[in-house]
Amino acid sequence: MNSGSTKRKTIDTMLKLALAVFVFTIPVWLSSPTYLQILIMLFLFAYLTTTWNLVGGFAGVLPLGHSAYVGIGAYTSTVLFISLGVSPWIGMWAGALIAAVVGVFIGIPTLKLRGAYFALSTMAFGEGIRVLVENTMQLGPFTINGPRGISVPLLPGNNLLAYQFTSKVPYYYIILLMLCVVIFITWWFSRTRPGYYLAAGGEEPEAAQALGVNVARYKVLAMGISCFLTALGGTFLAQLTLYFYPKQILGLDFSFELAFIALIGGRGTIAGPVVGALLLRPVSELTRIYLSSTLPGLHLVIFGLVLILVMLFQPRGLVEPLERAYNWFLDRISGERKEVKS
Amino acid sequence: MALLEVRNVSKHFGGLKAVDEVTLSIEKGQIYGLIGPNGAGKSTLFNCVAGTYAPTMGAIIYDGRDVTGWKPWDICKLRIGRTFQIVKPFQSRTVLYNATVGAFIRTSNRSEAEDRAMEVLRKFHLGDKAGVLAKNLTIADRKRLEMARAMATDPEMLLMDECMAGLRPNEVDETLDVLREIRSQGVTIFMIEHIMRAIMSVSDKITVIQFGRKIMDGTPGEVANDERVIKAYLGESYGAGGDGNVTA
Ligand SMILES: Nc1ncnc2c1ncn2[C@@H]1O[C@H](COP(=O)(O)OP(=O)(O)OP(=O)(O)O)[C@@H](O)[C@H]1O
Ligand SMILES: [Mg+2]
Repeated sequence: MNSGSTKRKTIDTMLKLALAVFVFTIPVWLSSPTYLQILIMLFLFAYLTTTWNLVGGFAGVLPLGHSAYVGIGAYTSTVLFISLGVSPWIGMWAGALIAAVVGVFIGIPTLKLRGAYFALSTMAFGEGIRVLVENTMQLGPFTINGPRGISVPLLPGNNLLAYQFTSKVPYYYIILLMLCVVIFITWWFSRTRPGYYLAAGGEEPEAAQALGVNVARYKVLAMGISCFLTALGGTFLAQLTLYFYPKQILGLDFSFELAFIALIGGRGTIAGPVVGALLLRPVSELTRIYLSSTLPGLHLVIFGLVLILVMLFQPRGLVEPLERAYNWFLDRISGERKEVKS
Repeated sequence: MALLEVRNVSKHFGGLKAVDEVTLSIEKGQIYGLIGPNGAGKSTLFNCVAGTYAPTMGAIIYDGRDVTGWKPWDICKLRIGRTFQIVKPFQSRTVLYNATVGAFIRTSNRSEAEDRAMEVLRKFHLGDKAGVLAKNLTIADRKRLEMARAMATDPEMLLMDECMAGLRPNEVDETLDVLREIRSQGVTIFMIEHIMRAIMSVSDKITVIQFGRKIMDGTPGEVANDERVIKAYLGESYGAGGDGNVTA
């Protein structure tokens, strides 16, 4: 173990602090809205993958329909804003609640299924929601607009109450804060009894049951929390783009991207989703900018190839080797004896 | 009154009667052995008691309460712990994490659970391996972890399915010592074991089953000298060279 010298610890803290300061001051010197937008989307995907990871990582199953909950968040807050004038800051909690209820409802029968069946049924459910929304023009008093999607009515200038800003900077800080909060929640949750039970049940369900864990119950709980938080990200996406439609926000490739980011970064780890998003988002953006007209969906092909490589050489994701490299680096610069870790 | 009563329990898999009307009764504080040839239905009977399977027929009575068909986690909360014949550690986690999952049954406070887990790990000679990932353990240590994790749930009765298989003789002796110690603290032990030397030396009473049916029960001495048991193990012909480790 390299718990150790105060020097090493100081350097570790300083580096992390420097990173935090760097990330929080990016908008000060980076004024290009295009680059800020790329970073915002990167953080949003890191956020959504972190919430996905509660089920997909810790509960040991592979949800492939999480775009449904992004969509529920986006549609709920937007529709409430348009028809009732409810601020999206309030509407997002309504969306989160609905998503949690739907998630639990879907989770109860499907989380008992084994691996592939769970993945397939969540995928089918996600697609079902998309088709349903595409075929719904009006839901009671609410306009859904089918495949054409919805625009959030634009208000003049910056309007904090309406969750609308002319500059990208507020969005940058909102999503960065949201990301920090979910990372903290995940970290904290993984150290509580339900967190232990969830991870244990995800890894060896029979053993966990024999130790007193009602495995299905904890998976359903995780599903509820995950969908709740995912929907909050959906509202953010709606406010950022101010226009969305089913194919984009409820699409399969959205769900797949979250799974790819988690698997490549490191499923069931706290830093995995961030690492995965850092690596894969630029690929998504670049292929979309340069090749979207000629080769749409190319980013998923590239993800697939990267995933194969990662699974071959680092089956637990890229966080593990990165952590090792970081520790090695810390040892070196703090001048500590190099120890071979078992 | 018996702590555990198995009354006429059967478990069928399709046409196969893996357990066929077995009855036995275990007193508090006993070490109770269950033996029989491979495929006799021993693990299946354990799984019926532990709630992994609901018996096809019959009843499981624990401490005067009918617990037939209860779920495994509820059985665990009744203070019955169990180990698996094929060990099932949480591979990607540390030894301490594994035991802490068990210890969480008594407290929701993590550091309390970890303290309790450490205590049990030390008893099973795993104290200095607390930080090792379970996947990096040797077979002997995995077996120890399997027992320690079950003991971390603070059971009154421990079901042990071949916890000594694959251990070296000195490790078997060490495990037997730990078992005696656990028993002296009031834990009742119900164990399946193929190593005759071990089970004969430590059990108060033994039940023998074959093809799902009970052949007999009695003290180790009675069992070792019983014609039917010898036949069950060595075959009708008393054929030469049965299982090397079978005879007492
Ligand atoms: N889940 C199952 N489905 C179908 N058959 C099963 C199942 N579990 C066990 N069996 C069968 O039931 C019989 C008893 O198996 P069991 O595992 O209980 O034997 P055992 O006495 O524990 O043997 P061993 O000493 O080899 O561990 C075997 O014929 C086995 O193939
Ligand atoms: Mg067995």
